[in-house]
Amino acid sequence: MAAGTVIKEQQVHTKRSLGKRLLKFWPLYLMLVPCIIYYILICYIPMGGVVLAFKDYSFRKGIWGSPWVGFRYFKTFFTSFDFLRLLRNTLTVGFIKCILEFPFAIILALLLNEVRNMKFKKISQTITYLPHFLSTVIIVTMLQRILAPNTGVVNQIIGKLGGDSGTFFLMDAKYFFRLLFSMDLWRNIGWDSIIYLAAISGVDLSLYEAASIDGCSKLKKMWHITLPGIRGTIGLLFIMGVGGLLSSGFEQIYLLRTPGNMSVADTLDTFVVRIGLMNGQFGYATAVGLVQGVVGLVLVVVCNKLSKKFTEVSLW
Amino acid sequence: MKKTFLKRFLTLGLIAALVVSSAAACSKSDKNTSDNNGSSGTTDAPADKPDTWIADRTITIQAYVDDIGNSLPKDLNNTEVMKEITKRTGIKLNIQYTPGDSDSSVMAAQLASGTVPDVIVSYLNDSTRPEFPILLKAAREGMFADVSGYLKDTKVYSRYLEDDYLPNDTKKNITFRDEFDGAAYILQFSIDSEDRSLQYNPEDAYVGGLYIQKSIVDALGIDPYKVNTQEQFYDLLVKIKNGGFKDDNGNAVYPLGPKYWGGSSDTLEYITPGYNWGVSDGYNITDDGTIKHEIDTDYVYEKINYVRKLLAEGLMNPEFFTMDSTRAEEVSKSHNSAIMADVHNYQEIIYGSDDWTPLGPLNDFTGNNSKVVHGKSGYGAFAISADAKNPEEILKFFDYLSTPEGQMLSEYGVEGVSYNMVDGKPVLTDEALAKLNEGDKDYLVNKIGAGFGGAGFAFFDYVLTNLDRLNNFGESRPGAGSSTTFARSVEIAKDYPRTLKLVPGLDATAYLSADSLADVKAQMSLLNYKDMLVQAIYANSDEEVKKIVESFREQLKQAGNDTFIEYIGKLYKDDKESIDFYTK
Repeated sequence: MAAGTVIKEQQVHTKRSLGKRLLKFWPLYLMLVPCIIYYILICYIPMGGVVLAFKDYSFRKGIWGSPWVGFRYFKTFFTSFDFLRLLRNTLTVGFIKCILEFPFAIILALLLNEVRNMKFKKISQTITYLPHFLSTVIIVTMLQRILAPNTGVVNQIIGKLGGDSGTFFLMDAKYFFRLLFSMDLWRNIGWDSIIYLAAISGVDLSLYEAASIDGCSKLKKMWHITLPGIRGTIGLLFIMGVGGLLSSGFEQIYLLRTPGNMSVADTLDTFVVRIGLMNGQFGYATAVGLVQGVVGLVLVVVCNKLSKKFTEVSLW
Repeated sequence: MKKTFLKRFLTLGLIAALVVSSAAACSKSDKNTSDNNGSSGTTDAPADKPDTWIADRTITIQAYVDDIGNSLPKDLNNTEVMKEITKRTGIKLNIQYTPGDSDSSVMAAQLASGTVPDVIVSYLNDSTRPEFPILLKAAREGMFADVSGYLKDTKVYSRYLEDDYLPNDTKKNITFRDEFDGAAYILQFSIDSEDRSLQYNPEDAYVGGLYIQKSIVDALGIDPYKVNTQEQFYDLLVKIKNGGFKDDNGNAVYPLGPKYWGGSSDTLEYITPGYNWGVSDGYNITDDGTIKHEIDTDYVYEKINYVRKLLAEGLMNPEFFTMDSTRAEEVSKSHNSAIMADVHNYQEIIYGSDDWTPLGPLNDFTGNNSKVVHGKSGYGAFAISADAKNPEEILKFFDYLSTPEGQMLSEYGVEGVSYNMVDGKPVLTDEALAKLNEGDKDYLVNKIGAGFGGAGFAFFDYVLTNLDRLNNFGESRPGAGSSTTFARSVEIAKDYPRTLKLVPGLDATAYLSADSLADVKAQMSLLNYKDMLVQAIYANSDEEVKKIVESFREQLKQAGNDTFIEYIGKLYKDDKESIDFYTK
């Protein structure tokens, strides 16, 4: 009876016009106003700044008064000798961060969900969350010391085991992506798993009971109940993550860069800072940033469409 | 019903609180702004004003100089120096500093926002500094006031109008550029009253570069002054390695350690001068008159291979180029480096003990180890906002600071408080001297607030010009004549004198700011030759070295190197002193 009433009410709500809904639930909509204002002021109005990508920015005349230069910066960027290298590096870093690291947080959440000793579970969760709160500068400085040739812990262990203790990990391009992957994973795995743990807690417990009665093993329950149960969350996060494929994140890469690994550690994000802030070429930097944004948007739209078609999970 | 009413009441309350707090935040910032603006205006002078009176106003200065930002007094206008300045000129100061990744990037961001306070003060040794293109753009776009009309009425800055007073670069590229058509927007500080660039004076000479542990020198029985060639330097490193020397922690020393301030590719200037082709930022001219970049000569491989050999044989710290400043200081202080790649005699690690002594310097590619100087030069610069009220008052204020009276006040503080006049020269009081020797920042910066040769509030050491400290004050910096602190610095400069060689002209890359080279500059600014050298030095094989070098050659070509060489070739043909090329 109660369930029927809820369904009826929902049907009534969906049929009501926006005006009527606004009138009926005005306090809730009113509470939404500051949030909307925030997004307009902080996210949407600054978007107007992308017009800089088509202008020769003048300090004095400002964004709107500066003369137009059309697609000059885009042309310079796409024909520059650095373009392919930057694109390749950015895509590699994006792939590591968005695709390669993606399943680890899910696996951790699934594992934590199976832990029955609550004390152990809490301690494990806290330990895995902690790195998220450390600043990148501190993490990279720690990494520099741990990996220092001869004097770093890692090299000392290698030396004790009879290997070459002089490996300069941060100066060798071949270690860069591995280090980035390990560092980023260590830092974010715990934090990223929270959302999956929350999704797992929403899975209907009666399904597990039924599966137990049917004689399902833990692994099978994980595979056939938990994972399908959080499929929607996984899908949404994946679609949003794909949008960041061309954004490698500035801070981490910038701090890990050395002349030795520069060939692989120079990405679009570091390039934007280098030419924008350090060389004062704001228009050029905006143009590169715009390319990143547009490609990200296209990727999200395509991914969302594909996901909707094949898995029925989508952002909109 | 009651519940609904309560909900609505609470909601309204929340929203009202949000709106009120937002409005309060906005109105607060408005108030700050108006305070700043309001205080910048001029008010009437008192009837009994001194001759040095300028105006009763506050000048707001944005400094893009970390030394100034790091030494700002807690209460600027209540230091002895500022109280005296206000008494004599009516001027109060509001100095702002914004820390950031680098001072030049902070400046770029702030100028891009389109607002400048009354004055900006920036680093600007010459027109090759990264700050210059940003300052030039701002000047071109009319953000700075033209002070050319006021210069002739000033006591000190009027000298900038004299024919041979300003360094060539300052005159042609910074202050009186042809394109400005007589206008002057950017004025440099720290111009010497006379050209003494070829005079070596141990009393104020900075002896920089390689320093070696004295105990190692004694143990090996070498004369560090006679290590001049790349081969001799290599042999010395080998001797140190074989000598089994230990650091303070009992670990084996690295024969060659990073520079005291942290790893950097700049240090190649000191460890491989024999393979550095000239001093013009990579460019030079061959005997037959062809202009090239070093990448197109054999020097590039000689340099890379030399350092690769040092690394491969364990003769230098592997983190030589990348070590952060804290650790570099650590390895220097713990004597882990037998040789520091770069430090100078006014750094405490050097003057604080007898542990270190200068090494070399090594010969350059011509077989000479004289230090190349380019003639007179400036150090920092200032520009007055085009929107500042009465810019002539601001110029007068900076002019006052550079008069003999202003310089004395700026550097030594107030007579009778921090110095006394003896035989017509300022001498620090015992208290001030003791505080200077102790490095008591609270006294030097917060109480007195004078420059004290850079040991106090750096602003007042930084913004002076028409300098002649030895003649005016009888010493190169406050306390140098009577302080024991820098006795060792002067002793080093006396014991290891440097010879100087004049090579007039600017680095070739200074001319990249020409309008016709805008696209070339945009591409070239993405290339870093020194980073490429380090990358090649750490390459895993000789083949990889070749690949890195060849790739850079190609990138430089694609960036428009030929166009650039053609441009500077014409310049050099017309004026041999325009670019600092020199041959064997």
